[in-house]
Amino acid sequence: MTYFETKQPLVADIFSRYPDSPQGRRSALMPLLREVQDAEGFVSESRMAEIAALCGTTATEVRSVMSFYSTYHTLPTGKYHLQVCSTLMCALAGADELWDHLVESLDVQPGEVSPDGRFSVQKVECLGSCGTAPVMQIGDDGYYENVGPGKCAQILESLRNDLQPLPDNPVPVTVGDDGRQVLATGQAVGSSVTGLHRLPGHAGGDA
Amino acid sequence: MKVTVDGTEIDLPAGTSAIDAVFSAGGDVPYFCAHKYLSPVGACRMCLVESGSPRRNPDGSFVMEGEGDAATPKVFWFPKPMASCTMQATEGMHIRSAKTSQVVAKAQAGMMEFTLLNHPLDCPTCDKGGACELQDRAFEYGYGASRFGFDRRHADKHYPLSDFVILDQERCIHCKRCVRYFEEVPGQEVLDFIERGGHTFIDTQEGGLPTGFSGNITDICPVGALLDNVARFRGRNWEYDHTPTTCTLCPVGCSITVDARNGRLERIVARENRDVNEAWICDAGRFGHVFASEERLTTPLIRDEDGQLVAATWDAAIDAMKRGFSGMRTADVALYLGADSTLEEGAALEALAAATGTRSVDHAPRYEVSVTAPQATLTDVATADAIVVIGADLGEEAPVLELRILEALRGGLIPPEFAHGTAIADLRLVERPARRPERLAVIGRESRLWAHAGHRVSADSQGALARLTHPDTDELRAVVALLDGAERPVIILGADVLSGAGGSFSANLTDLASRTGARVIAIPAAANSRGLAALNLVPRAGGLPVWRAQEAPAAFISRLDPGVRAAGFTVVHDTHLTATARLADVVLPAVTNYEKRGTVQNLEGRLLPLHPAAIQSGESADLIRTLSALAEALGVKAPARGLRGAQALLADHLGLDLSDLPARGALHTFRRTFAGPAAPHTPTLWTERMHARPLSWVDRIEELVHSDWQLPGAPAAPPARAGGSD
Amino acid sequence: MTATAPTPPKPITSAKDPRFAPTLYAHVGQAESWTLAYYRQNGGYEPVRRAFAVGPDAVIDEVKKSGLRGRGGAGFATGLKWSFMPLKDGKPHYVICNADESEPGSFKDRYLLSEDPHQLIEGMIIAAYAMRASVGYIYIRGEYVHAAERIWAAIHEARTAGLLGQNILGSGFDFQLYVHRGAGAYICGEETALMNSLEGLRANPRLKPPFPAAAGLYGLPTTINNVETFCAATQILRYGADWHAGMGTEKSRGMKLFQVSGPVARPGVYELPLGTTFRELIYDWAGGPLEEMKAIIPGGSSCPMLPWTDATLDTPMDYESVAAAGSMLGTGGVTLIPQADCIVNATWNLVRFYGHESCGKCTPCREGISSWMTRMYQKLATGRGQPGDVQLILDMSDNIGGRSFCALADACLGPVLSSIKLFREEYDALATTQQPLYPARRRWRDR
Ligand SMILES: Cc1cc2nc3c(=O)[nH]c(=O)nc-3n(C[C@H](O)[C@H](O)[C@H](O)COP(=O)(O)O)c2cc1C
Ligand code: SF4
Ligand code: SF4
Ligand code: SF4
Ligand code: FES
Ligand code: FES
Repeated sequence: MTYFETKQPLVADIFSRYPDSPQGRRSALMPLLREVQDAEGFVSESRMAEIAALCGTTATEVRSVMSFYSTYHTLPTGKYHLQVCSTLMCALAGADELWDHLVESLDVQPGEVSPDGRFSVQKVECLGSCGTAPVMQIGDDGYYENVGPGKCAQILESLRNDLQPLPDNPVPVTVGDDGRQVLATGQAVGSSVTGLHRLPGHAGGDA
Repeated sequence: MKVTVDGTEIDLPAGTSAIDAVFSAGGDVPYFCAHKYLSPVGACRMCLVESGSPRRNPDGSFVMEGEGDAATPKVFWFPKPMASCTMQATEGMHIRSAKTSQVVAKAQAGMMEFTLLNHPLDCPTCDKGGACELQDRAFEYGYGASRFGFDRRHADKHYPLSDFVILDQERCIHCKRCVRYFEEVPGQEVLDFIERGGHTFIDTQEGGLPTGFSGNITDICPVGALLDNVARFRGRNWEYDHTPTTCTLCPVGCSITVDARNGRLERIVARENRDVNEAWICDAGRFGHVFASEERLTTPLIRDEDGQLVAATWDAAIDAMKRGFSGMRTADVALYLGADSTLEEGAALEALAAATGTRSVDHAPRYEVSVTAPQATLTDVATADAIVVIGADLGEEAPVLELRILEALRGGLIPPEFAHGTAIADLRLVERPARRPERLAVIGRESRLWAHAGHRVSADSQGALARLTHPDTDELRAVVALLDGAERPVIILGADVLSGAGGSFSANLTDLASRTGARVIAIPAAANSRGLAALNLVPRAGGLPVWRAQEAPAAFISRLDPGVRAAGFTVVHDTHLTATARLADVVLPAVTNYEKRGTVQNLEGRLLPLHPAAIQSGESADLIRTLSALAEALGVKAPARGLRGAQALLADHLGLDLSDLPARGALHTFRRTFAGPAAPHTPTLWTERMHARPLSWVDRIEELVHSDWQLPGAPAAPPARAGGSD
Repeated sequence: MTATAPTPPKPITSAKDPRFAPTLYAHVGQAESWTLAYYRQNGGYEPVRRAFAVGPDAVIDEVKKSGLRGRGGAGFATGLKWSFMPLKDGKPHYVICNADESEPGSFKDRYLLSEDPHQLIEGMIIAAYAMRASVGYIYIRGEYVHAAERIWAAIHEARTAGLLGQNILGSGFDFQLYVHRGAGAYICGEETALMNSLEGLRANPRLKPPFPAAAGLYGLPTTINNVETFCAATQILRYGADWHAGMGTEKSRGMKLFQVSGPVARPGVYELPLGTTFRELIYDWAGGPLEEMKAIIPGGSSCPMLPWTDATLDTPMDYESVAAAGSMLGTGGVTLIPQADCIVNATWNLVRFYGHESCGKCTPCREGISSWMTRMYQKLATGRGQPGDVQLILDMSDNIGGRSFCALADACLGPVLSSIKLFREEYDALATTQQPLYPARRRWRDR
């Protein structure tokens, strides 16, 4: 059975975001790939062909586009696909050691899935969370940040019990409730938005 | 527009690219990704030049440099070298190539080093060796040595993309020509890069490239990454004898180069002809030549006492014919020839018919109708703003015509021509060009072209012309509106309309063309049907057409396979032992059109020259020489003494001077044409020609080992020419 | 702010200045800050009303007057860029938000997206209105799953509230906004590659010209801006061009989101006026380094490293001053590199990054960076260096620099050339003795 056969509203929603033209149809390629991958964990050749037909192109093009990106997979990954940022800022915070630890303790190499089907690992590039390095992403879910040895152990323990901890998103920002920024010393300096003059809005505005 | 290249000022048309500016000035720039008929993309970065332009002050005057009269506009140079294939030359621009710029010379040497980084140095075993753009340019522009020092990228070296095209992924330099070709020319997304960065490679996910126009990528690949699998390991480029000639497998008449080695036709490549095929040929034209080297007849055959066909000399064959025809009137011998015979051959046969007085003369295939509507050229097709194709399966009838139609749909931009040839980079060509399917209407049976057409009308092709005169459906009204609204409309007619067209055909067509201002291409039934129609090669009153050959008292049948013999003595002249030949009393060996000198006329009325390639075919002869033998057997005067004689006949009868036909051919309209009832004809280019049996590379190497093939070290002496006809 | 004094007030170049208030990040980190209700409570969707009131051309003028420059890295004047859009060509126009944020060291857009999505949406409506665009896309990097969900939800809320769609707030202006998720490719941040990605093509950069304002997405006039740029536009429409222009330096006006990563006490994002010194950012805001440092990457990994000196620390962070110091302000992502870490190893990491992210289109980047430079660094950093290797890297860089199709290859040369210039002795040690001056050490620890 085709994947999208029973999901016509979803397909229609995706197409509705782009112009109603051959070029616009082609734009649905990445969202459709994402749909399949999120549901099945990878994109098989038959799914590529299915997506090609939906987008009015060929399987060659789908594979070409798909292979350009690093988060689409042509082979199944583990239930928990651990993606470890290995770029400089995370490396400076010990990402290499985190990686080695994962590979060793899970006994899985990139491209493999652990025997219990639970884990696969991939090195990825800067996840845009350098302030909370080292960082790891699980599957297409959120980030796990400041993954030190202790936190890593906790996460692995939970995953082994199939209890995926919620992704955490600490916000490394220091603006207080009053809208003022706080220096490293703890001192709030500068003004807050309430100290700024808003320009008069439109007549009907609720300023 | 004035541009200064390496210190020399030249005048150029606006819109010229910097790379063409340099070539126009007689200079040189190495390039790999640019290609005359593809969009410039700036990927290989080999074509770097330094450039600068004058600037204007706010008042419009130039910013000057120097004092008083010596003042000249100051040139503001770009701080870094620029890719000349993607840069437009502008008024007053200065360009420096490697000839005058050290920076450019070093940049190009450095780029060459990068390009060669992962390129295997297997030139000695590469089919492209000797004709490789990379090899040549590395020699001219490289450092001479690489400082890389690491292991090269390893990838699949024998990766078949189809039965006909093989890919060596290691050799690919990622110029993207092949990808752009498929996307831009035949409009197919069947080949593309996979992965990215240093891991990028070429592949298809279609389970093989579609046959049609796939072979062209083997011509345009600047390295030996994409190779003609039919010609794989057949020879080195310098061993081949290259013959520029014309493909006569269909009436497009593409310019080709035939490569032969040791008397065998090994390979056919496209040759540029701006007016006809630009730089492309179809897969039938490229790979469908195998018949010319396999199971050829090399001597005449005559019947022995047991009635078996046995090899004989020409003299013995002439004797056999004399015996066979003895007691017959020469006029009893019907004369038939294939419609891909040359004009010269046709003229010789026409003259022989006059001498023998036979009324049974014919050529086939041909259509009965003659078209008087204004003729469209292939360039007209490519630049048309509306095209209506009726009753044609172009894949079988005239494949490259399909490419010229698709060219019109993507804007009809034909790259300009300079003294150095077609523009290397026409900046008007863009990747993934916008297409205008609404400019194309197809009427008739479904064919490959349908995928590209905005208007598709399933209809009986024969009736379609009449119905277009009085459109009775919305679909047909839309087609008429398309023609009416266009400035340069073209109508193309194929076999389904032309074969057995009814009496009102000409009137309807003339009416439609004059009403809409359309020009017309009626695709002839065979490569030279159009030219041969200018000669009286149709049955005279009471004469028998080919399809009634079996009623003829005797017959001479050249390169036609009706599958029957005449009632009496039958002579067949052919390249192979066809079904008809097996029935004959005497079989005379014929040369293929690859081995001929002569002239054909293509579907737009262009006269195109044939030149003989160095193919050994024993004692095979063209029709002119064969007719001399026949004349001798019949006891009449030889109709023409060789090619010159036949051309003299054409000059006398038709006022046609073929003595110095330009290589790209010349349009010619014959004042008079001969038509007559014709047999129904369905062109089948593919099934007939594509009986290639491509071996896998493993088989091929085994075959080579078996035949003690050795890697040739030095250019071999060219084989003696054979089979010529002068 | 309204200035009544006869002499113009001294521009604001420190967030400690009592006149400075964070606006872009004023609500980032607050509970429910991503909801429409919260946003409205705090004056949200007033700026767009003002835009509708003054008209599209006045919006462009206001942005021009504010001195806002693109926050995606190149710092191109935003108002000028908007004015390149053809106004009366009758074709559909597009605005695109570049939320691909992939330059190592940059993580400011992520929190704008997830914590204050309406600020961005509003900025895009304003920009679209000014540029007569009817459709917008937010191209968000695939890994920002959480942020994408927040943005989708916010768009949905805005649409339901009539802030997107037909006749927004009764203005007669129609605008649709969609999210398009990337899938892991740094090059998609390059604006033309981004458009290819959005069109479902391989994300190779496109030839320029034509520039996006002439032929961008689907061949139609398009303008692409960074997330922070759009958010700044919202604030400019709220507080006025003069307010914005009152911050920063002569040519670098307004506030900027600076990011600090590396071993400092408080890594994070700080909203500071342009012209703030590195010293203030690193010491006063980020709490100072936790160990001895040797280099600063001032604006994302492609910006040449600067030495850890007083001169560097006292350099004001504005486009011109950082350029004068030999680097670029880039995205404002400041990374500190400790003295004890091998610079060759660190640079190898970045070279590997750019090599991995090369799109493969052009030869100098695909072969020069992706294939060769990466291996030169691997060779050096893994103790197999040879004399002459550094010279070779320099010569290769000369053959790559300025010769590639897009700026990615040059971006890689930023760290390469600057680290060789500043720390040649570390390279030479590896090339001659095969031993790093600063051996690898354990760095993984709990915070
Ligand atoms: C290789 C490369 C990567 C880029 N990545 C980003 C990016 O992740 N985010 C971004 O906003 N701009 C990025 N840019 C800059 C954009 O091309 C573009 O200039 C910017 O989005 C314009 O927005 P602005 O004028 O608001 O800065 C990148 C440029 C290049 C050459
Ligand atoms: S296979 Fe040949 S034509 Fe195609 S990209 Fe590679 S080098 Fe170019
Ligand atoms: S289109 Fe016709 S003439 Fe041209 S190569 Fe093909 S068969 Fe030959
Ligand atoms: S420099 Fe070339 S290969 Fe590298 S990302 Fe840009 S276009 Fe692609
Ligand atoms: S380097 Fe790991 S998140 Fe940026
Ligand atoms: S960049 Fe390849 S020819 Fe110009």
